Amino acid sequence: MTEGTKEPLPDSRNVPALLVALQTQQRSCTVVVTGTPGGAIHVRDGLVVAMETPGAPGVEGLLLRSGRIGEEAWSAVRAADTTHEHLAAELVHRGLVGAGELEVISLSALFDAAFALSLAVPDSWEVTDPVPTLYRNAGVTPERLLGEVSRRVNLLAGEPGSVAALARTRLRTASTARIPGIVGRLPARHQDVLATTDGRRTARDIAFTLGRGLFSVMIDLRLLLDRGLVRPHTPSTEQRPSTAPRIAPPAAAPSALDSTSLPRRLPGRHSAPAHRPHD
Amino acid sequence: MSSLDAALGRALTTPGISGAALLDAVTGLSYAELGDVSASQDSCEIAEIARIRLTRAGAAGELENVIVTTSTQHLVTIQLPRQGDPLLLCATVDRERTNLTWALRELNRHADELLA
Amino acid sequence: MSDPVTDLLIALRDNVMGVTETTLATSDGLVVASDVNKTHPESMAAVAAATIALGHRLADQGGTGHLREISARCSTGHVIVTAVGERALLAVVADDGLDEAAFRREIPAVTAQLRRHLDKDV
Repeated sequence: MTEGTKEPLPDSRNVPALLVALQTQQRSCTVVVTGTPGGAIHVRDGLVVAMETPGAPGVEGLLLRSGRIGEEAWSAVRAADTTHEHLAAELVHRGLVGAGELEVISLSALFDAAFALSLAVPDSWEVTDPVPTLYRNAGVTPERLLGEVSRRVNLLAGEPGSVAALARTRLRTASTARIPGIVGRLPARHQDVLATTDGRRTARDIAFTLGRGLFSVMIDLRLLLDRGLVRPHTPSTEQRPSTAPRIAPPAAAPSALDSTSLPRRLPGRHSAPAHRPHD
Repeated sequence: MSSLDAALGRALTTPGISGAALLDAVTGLSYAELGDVSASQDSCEIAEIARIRLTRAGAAGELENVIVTTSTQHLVTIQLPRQGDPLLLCATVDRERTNLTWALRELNRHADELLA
Repeated sequence: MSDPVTDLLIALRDNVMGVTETTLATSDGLVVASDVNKTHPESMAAVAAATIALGHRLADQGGTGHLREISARCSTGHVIVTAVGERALLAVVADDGLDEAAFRREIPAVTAQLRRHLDKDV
């Protein structure tokens, strides 16, 4: 797809400027962004149609995790279109998801990925030939994309940097959330978010767990934070057992199993640890 | 082209409906809009307040719609439940040209087609 | 009192988006350290050790050199088992959004650091 007549891209100082240049030239390409997280921005005829990043759930994940589409149906769709250029059309054609519904999911994943990528500073980026991807929308101008991203950042916090910090924070349920009657009066959506705040998950992890967008989960978390129902978590750790080569101790039995020392095994005896719940 | 734009276009053929937008009820993202939609972002906020406050006040059931009436217009917001975060169909209805019951019935009919 | 090995596991979860649970186990399937919530570390250690052992035989059969890792790709996530020297292995559970670039970048350093810690056990 590399036409010889392609104008060279101006030296873009940042990704938004690059997207504007691609729009002016009506290019079809994929911009691979490296960073933490990185991602891929899919541009068709100058408009952004899809973005993928580890920072936010993608279309495929949203469709599969929500159970809208089963694993078998999804495999069949991918088998029917080995180029992966017409996956969206195939999904709609097979009646697996409505055209309007898929457009909603495609757009929400696009704007969510743009928001997630905006929270990190990219290391570098590279314009490549278009990579096939699952999308169904008419394309979004870089201007609208950036406008929506800044609307989202403003909605979450006033001071810069605080949104990225909120995205990285691992939250846990506060003790106030255990007072009877308080959680029950929250909308079901907030109850679901509350149930996944276990001190280990960030907003991004909750979004993947629930199959929802990063930004919508962050809106819910902000509300739960403001109401004192969740709070940032600081982890505590314990001492690990030793991995020293195990030799037969004089009189130790395998039952000497406790949480602070590695159980010692007698040579030639393949005795399992006492605790094997899945047998 | 966009199936959502096409579906909104059909909704706007109803006399008296001068604008419609499909929004995300949580993020406020506009998925599609057509005609006079100047009030759609505000409708989204009003619906969110209604949803949270009503639940907190102990109202049973899910929010179905919010109707704000001015001297010339009805601003109708219908919540569309779906798997995942709900959507809002916001419409501007001209009071001179149609009545609310009829407009609501038409909008609900088009809402069903929207995600198909 | 925080243990440096557990800290390494937590750091891996912090540094790589998508990593949700990790278990460090001996090659014969006993838990050394874990950073888990949902997975049962004892069972994960046992299955991961068996998987790595089979992986070595797979590599032999395939004539594809030394085994680096075994990964199970599933519909909503991954389980990746990496050898940590001869004595231990690391089983990582990740969601479908795993930042594979970051994972590839981090895992050699993490396994090297884990090895250094474990080599002190004599």
